[in-house]
Amino acid sequence: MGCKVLDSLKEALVQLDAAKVEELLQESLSSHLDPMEILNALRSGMEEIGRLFENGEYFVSELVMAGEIMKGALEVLKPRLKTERESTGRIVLGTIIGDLHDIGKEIIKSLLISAGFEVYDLGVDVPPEKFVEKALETGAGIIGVSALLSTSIANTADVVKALEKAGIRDRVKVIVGGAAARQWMIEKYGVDAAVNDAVRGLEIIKEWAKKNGTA
Amino acid sequence: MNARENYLRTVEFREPQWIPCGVSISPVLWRIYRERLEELILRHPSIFGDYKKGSVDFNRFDVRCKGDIYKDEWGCVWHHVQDGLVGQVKTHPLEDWKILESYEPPDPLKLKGPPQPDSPPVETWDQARRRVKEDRKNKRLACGYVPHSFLFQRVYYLRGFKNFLIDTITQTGNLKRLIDIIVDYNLRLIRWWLENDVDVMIFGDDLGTQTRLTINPETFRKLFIPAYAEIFKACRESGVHVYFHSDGHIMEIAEDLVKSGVSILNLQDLVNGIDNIRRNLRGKVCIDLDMDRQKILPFGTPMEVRRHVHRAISALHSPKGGLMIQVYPCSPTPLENIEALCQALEEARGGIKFDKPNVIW
Repeated sequence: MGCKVLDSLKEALVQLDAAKVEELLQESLSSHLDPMEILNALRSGMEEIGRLFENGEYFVSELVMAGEIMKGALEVLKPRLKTERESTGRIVLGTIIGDLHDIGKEIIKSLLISAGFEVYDLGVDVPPEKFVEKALETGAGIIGVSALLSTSIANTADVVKALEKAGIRDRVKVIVGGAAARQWMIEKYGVDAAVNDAVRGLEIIKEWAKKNGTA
Repeated sequence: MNARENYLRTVEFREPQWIPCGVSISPVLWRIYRERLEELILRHPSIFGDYKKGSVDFNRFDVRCKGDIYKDEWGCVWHHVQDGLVGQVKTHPLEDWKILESYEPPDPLKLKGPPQPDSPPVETWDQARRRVKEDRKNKRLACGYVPHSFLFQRVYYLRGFKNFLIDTITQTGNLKRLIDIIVDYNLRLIRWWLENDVDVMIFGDDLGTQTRLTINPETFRKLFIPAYAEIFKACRESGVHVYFHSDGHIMEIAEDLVKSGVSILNLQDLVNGIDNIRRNLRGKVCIDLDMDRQKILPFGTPMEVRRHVHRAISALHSPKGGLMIQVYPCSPTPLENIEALCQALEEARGGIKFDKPNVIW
């Protein structure tokens, strides 16, 4: 029975049916299913949504809607998770200085939270040194820099320089994401990855976290 | 043949003499290159027309200065974070649907002049009327315009982007009501221009992301195509051409836009794919090709720029017409790439788009 409810829960999330997710979540909890299993069903749904996005069947709107439903579900689940969930990794996120766009950052943030990462969101128009300060403060091993404007992307190089200056470049990876991200930034700016979509970004971040233990 | 006649022949597939080309350079580049850019422009009169030395203020950004904030007639608050760039809306008056009940939409005709997206009007109604009259008298192309972001983007400026994206999934009646309000606003504005006898109405709305439409194409067709059709129909029924610009990947709905009344479609070349444009749009609509300003122009070599221009034109050109070129070089495009661009356009039978030089955007 549990498995059936969890399958339906996953399917409701993939179909972006917020009311159904809420209903099935309550049903799962009333049936005393393990909250961790419920969370895993939801994560599996988010992975399916990522696949649909990569295949061109889902669009930014579907990713955002899924992120919102997932956020609501996590609020319900959080107090019921018996032990502190083991973090997949820690990441500092922000939109680079000179750019106020935040939707791309919000999408990757919701995907990361769904995948179990601890996310430290610095907001928009963030100076390079703020990323580094936060990484030092939290011990995060990954910095995610969001950039939409091609006129702002040169500022992402300063994040790498600030990490070098702080002496922590060897333990912190930098990924640039957004419409302005280009592969040549890896060589020219010294970042570790540059991606145009959040789903690919999540894959890379997960690989890094897996290799390094918790980031 | 003057530029107006050549332009209209291009749009109407009546064998123009040359490919109308426009190169409008960002204020940031003007500030960087200054006299050197002016000299380049003077070397290419066949692209830039009768440009007069000293007619551009190299340091002028108007309201588009870093730190400036502007509240538009809808109540959206724009923040300018970089000199010379369009601002970004950070306050959205209809974030909460409850406000829609009491919300009073603006009357565009009560403004000082035709509205702009992120700044006050740049001409008064009287100046706009005189300009159109002068253009008509001097046999120049007479253009009217609505502010960039006139419909699709205006919805999310009012609602906030995240709310808007969710609205397109939940599709409540409020979204349809808001679209109707915005259509009414635009129709009032368009009627004013039509009464003043323009040749072309210029529209701009960025519909795509880098790789796909912002929202599902089916949803777009259902929610937005009827609204665009209503607006464009008003123009076409008056014998006025519809120029429509969109940034981003729009191939999935490009033909729907054409069916809804667009006569000139300004779309990005690499983002949409030159082969896709050739396959789906060539011969069906006049293409105003927005030549790459993300990769080759700013970061390629002059040779790559030339090759790209020739490739695009040979793929899309027809002696019957239906092709124009528009380029918006922006920072950090090297000066030699702008030179290579102009040379390549000249080699490919490119010529002026308008009788009046339009060298800044």
